[in-house]
Amino acid sequence: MSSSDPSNSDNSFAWSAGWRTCASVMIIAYLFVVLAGPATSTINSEVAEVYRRATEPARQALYLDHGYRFFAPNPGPSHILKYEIGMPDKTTVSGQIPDRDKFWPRVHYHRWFMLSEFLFNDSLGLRDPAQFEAEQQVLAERAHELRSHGKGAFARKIEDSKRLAKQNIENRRKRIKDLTDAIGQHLLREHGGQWIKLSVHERAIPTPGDIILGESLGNSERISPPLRIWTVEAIDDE
Amino acid sequence: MTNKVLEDEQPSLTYAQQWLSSWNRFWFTRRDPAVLGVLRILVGGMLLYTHLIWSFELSTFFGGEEALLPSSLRETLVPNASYRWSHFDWIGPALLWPAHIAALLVFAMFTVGVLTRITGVFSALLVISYANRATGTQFGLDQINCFLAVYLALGPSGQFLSVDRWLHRKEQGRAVEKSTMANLSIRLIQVHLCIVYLFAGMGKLLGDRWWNGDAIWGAVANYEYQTIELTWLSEWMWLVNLITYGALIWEVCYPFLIWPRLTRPLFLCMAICVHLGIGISMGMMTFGLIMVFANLSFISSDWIRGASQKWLPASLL
Repeated sequence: MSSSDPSNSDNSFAWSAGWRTCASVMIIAYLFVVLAGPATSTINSEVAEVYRRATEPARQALYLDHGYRFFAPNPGPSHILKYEIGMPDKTTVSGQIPDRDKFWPRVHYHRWFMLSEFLFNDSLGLRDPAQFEAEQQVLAERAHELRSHGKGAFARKIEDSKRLAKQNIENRRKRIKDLTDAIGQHLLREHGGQWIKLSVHERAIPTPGDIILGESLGNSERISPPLRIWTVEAIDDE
Repeated sequence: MTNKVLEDEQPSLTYAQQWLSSWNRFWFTRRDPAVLGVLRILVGGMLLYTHLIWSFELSTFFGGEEALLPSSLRETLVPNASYRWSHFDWIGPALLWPAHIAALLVFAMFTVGVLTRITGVFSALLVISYANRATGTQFGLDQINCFLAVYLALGPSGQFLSVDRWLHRKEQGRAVEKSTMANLSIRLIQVHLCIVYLFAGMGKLLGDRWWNGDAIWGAVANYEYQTIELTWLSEWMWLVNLITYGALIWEVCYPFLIWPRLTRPLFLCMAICVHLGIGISMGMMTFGLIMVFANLSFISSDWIRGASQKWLPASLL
């Protein structure tokens, strides 16, 4: 049963000491890259940032940039992307992603399911613009105060983080817009529609008590009102 | 004084030498490629199946600017991802289907072990390329598929239960040789798997539902995942608690207790139960199976060869 059992492998090395040293260096370097994905995916320290940047090319090229946090920290609710398409004859067509009846086999269904989760997770970081601006103002005032106390280095750090937060939110807004535009245009092409309204919803998980009282898992009342709504117009190709 | 220093240094030198010797034995002993051969068939079959399913909506996911997520959008969706290469960025719509069929052919050849050295490398490159292009639609299955494909390409996975082996044996009548690369390949799978479980387990330790013992309820009562009816567990919450704690303890301890011979059978059995359970109840059979396949890297080659000799023709072994 043992894979590290000596009986399972011949102990005389086929490789010379020099080859083993070279291979050892490569193994350590490779494992350093493998560990970087999960070790830095949720950490924002300066050391983690250096580690992340140093290993980024190799992680991306080998598809190793993952956190491996399956069902962690908690198995959460799922997210659904609903759509309503306005057709040329003024009727509407609606649907949702993922759709258990439409997408088969299961791996195919999961691809679409992950897409709705991807959109939700990304849109989660979209903040209320007024609240975000207020936070930026607080950071600017703090940096100014530190500078007036002769703490220029600390002030610069705060200004850097303020700038980074602004850049991140602008990138995220663009990303969400591009993503919803792409999904919207695809569905419009598929259905021949004129406009589409996309909305992301959360389906809450019922408690054991809810089930004992007779609720079914597919109860549509568990689906939240829209958490985000986007409207996309069809691009006129002519 | 000199004697005292020597006495102090000697044990640490011995320890360093022992550590080096253990390191060398762990990575560089020679190993029978039988496990790699079995993994090649199982993982190759999974690569073929998962990529065959892309055929349902190939142009939707992999087309150029007409795709659901156009190629130009990839840079926006995954910032600073300039090293996420994909061959789909270099081929036009006319070559989409020929390239896909060629990829399926490569996976099929790798599975049965035709030109395994070459098809193994191409399989690894292709599976990474597909995953890099299909941003936003991947999940754990793709992550495990990729690293297993890379390690199977690294080792001599075609030297057992393969067409290559059958042809080679017929021509030369040679016995299978143990190889360092076979060991290195298996060790990388094992270590990578331990890293996956370590971080999956540590991530769960941050979740209150895992500590409260009802995390499994959150998984089985999720409508989008559900494939079989398990809501009867609502009246058996003590069982949900036990399964939750059992899964958590197993996952956190796996990287440490999969190695000792005493605990390995238990941890492998747990792995099979947990992953097949997830596969059956949550509609993720492909993910469940690929995790079981990865766990088979801890099975002994002797055991596999012994079992194969009873049932299979000698020309394949």
